[in-house]
Amino acid sequence: MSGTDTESDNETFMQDAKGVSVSDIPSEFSTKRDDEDIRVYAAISFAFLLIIVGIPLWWKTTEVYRVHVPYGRIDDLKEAELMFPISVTILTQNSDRSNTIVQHLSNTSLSAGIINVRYRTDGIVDLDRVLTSPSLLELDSSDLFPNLSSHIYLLEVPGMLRFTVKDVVVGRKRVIYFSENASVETLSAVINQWIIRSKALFQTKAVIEAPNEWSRDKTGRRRMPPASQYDIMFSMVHPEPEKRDVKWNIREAISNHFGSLLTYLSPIISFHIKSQWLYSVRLEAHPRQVQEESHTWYSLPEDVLPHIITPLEKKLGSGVSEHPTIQLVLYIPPCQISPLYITSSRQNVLPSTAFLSPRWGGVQIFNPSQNLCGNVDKESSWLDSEIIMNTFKMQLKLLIGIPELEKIEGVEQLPLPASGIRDWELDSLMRIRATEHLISARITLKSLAQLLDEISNIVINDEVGDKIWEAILKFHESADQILQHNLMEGYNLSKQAFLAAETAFSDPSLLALLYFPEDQKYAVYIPLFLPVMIPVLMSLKSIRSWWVTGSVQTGEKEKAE
Amino acid sequence: MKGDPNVLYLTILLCLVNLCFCERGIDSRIPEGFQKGTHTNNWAVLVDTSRFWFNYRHVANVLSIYRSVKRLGIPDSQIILMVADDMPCNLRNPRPATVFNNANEHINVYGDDVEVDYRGYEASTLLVTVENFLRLLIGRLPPGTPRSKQLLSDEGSNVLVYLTGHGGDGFLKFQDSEEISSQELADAVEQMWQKRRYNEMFFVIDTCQASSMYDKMYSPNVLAVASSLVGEDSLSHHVDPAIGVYIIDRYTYYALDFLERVEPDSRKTLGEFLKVCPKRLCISTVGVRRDLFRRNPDKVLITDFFGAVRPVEVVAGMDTNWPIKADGALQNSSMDTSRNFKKTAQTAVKYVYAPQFPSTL
Repeated sequence: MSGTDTESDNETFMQDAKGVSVSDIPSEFSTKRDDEDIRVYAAISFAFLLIIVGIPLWWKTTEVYRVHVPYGRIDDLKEAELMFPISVTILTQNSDRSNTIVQHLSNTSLSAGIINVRYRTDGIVDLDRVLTSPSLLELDSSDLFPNLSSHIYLLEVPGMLRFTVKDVVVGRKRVIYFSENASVETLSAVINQWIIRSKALFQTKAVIEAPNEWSRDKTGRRRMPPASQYDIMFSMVHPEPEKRDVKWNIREAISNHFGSLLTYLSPIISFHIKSQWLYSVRLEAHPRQVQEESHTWYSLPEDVLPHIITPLEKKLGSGVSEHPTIQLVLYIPPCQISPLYITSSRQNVLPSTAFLSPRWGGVQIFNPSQNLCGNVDKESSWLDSEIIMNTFKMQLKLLIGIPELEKIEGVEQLPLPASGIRDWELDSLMRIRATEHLISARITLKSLAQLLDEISNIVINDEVGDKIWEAILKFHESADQILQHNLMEGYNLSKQAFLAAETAFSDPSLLALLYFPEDQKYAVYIPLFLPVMIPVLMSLKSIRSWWVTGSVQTGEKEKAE
Repeated sequence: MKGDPNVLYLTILLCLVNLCFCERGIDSRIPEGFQKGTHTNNWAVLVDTSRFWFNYRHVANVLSIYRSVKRLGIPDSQIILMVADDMPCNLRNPRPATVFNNANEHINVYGDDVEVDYRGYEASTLLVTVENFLRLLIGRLPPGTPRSKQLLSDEGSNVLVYLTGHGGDGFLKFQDSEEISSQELADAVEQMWQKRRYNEMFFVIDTCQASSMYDKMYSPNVLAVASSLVGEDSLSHHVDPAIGVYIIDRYTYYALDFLERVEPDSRKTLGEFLKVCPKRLCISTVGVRRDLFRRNPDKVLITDFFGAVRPVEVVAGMDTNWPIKADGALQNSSMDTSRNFKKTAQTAVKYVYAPQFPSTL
């Protein structure tokens, strides 16, 4: 290496000297030798430009732009702890009973490695308020305890028989009321099956991590896929507007009956609402007529329901929005097949008017009064918003991932609040969604990192780099917030992490240079550079021989002197 | 691919047996002896990669499969159709807006409503190119792509991928200008698996040397069938003199013949589909790759890939004008009917086709 350095130093010096004073050098050498020198100097300068300047410049300019990707930190996400702490406070009149309950609960609850339940018995409750309260509903709406997420209170209410015959009543916030007679088994069933749902949480995690071994539970299949926002499309399907005049102020119905639900959900899920009337669109089904003693109605067997949605979907037009759309369809059957009910061939199942399709939306049939048929402009043609909207609310609740509650003997719930969702249900939803977000963000980043690591000529632009960092940081922040009982912050951060990871993964720039792999780079440039490089490389040989003979001659001359 | 009219008579046997129209109700139970699929939804990506009028048959191929999956219940929003050229409206087409699967013009595979998602080569953003195909599979489409043109599959999706066009050893040519290599396809599938974009995948490849396309695949739960082995040409079925070109390829001709006899509640298996075109009919050898697939194809219903699942749950309404006295038991309960129903056109009229796969062509 050092030899080359001195050589090029020499060259520069000589080149400088050349222009000014070649002719001034005393003509000790022959003219032939002078010409040779000039030729060699030129060759040296070409070689210098090409090898020292040209190649690095070419290398630099054709380099693929790649932001640093923190591979190590992406690997570390696997070790990041994801643990949902839940605090359950048990308050009874008698500390022995409290301890028995705690003992039983901690034995029966499954932590599933992702939930950490802490039981406490040391809360304070204003017993006077409990005893003087006229009803459980009133007690529940008063702020007996701080209503914090993931803090559940089990409160023994002395003399609960004056309110209800059931032993356990689940409140609308995060309090469960139980009587002195309530059994520990019932309490643990309520806590495990309704409130904590550790099994569902575990399954959500497992299904993303090992899809070959696990499959989603029923709620998981029904839940809309995670997204930044959802569209809700209300469609009023009215096949015979000319025969039956119905009026419905959808805007007012949404704000009166749907508003509280949307407001309640707004910190965690955002919705964009649209509505449309579709006239002269029919369901592609042929209902059966049912004759009963006083009246006739039409039956739509549940078996045909799956075949109704696909043709209907074409008319609904959901393909344009960039967000997933939840379809809520109100169908007003034509007069000749009205009233219409969905029936089941199974025993003990009552006719219904509503059904839903997981991850798609819900449909409900609304039968306005028969005497509207053929009459136009009647006062009674206004539809009952409350009934319609309550069904839609129930469908929406199921579709966003709040499961229906399976029956537990001796347990009842207080009536739903105006929003339709209980606070503890929301906690459970946020836990499941946060798990889903974080685990899939991790899987996405891992796959992306592997891709970027293995294929070295993919451009990684600043945007992708930023999103990868954002996803990693938000992932950790989210896990921290969840660990500190800040479930809502944790949930929102997990959503940001998920969206950042998705954006990074699906960035279109990652496929932009697909057709310019490394070997093609040489294929393009070698034909360009080779014709230039060959004479230059050949000249290196003559430079070398010139150098050798030159130094020999100088040596001889020195010896002679 | 070459047309080979000399061997057409071999089809007689199959076509004589094929048309059996028996009345059946919808029975959505999983029959005895079948392995239940774990999928929750179905997607189909159907790709025709070649353009120009003389490649009419490739459009007929892809539309044949499109027709079948749509008839068996996959909604248009879950079918991604890439057609590289516009045969129905080509000026040389003597019957505009039709594409037929045989010279007798019995099945117009173009149908009444075809929704093409990725088109030929006119100026538009969604062309049939290797890049767009890969973007579609992996989900790396430019922002603003309509949802109906995206593959929004998830870890519960069974994805059917049908490829037709001109292939060679290890590549499939797109539009005469570029090609996708089998390695690129295999890597895209692996990334789909990592990103949980499918539950099971079924590749049907009808090109020359088609089996070279699946050789490099290494991701789990992939089943692939190819119309020809490496070194073999895949042949076309017959020429329609009215159109003047070969109108369908052998493999797809017999696949459509099979699929036309599948109903949403049929118990035909994937194993039967894999044997749909024996060597005496196809002339080329049909290749199958099943080592990545966990289930036994002989016990998998064909509708697991060619049909669609539309689970439905009946929710107890809160209707007041009830014909039967409702008690409070219905409140807050929903009954589950999410058995996997398959779509069917349940009409009283029985439609009977004239022989769709005539034996004398």
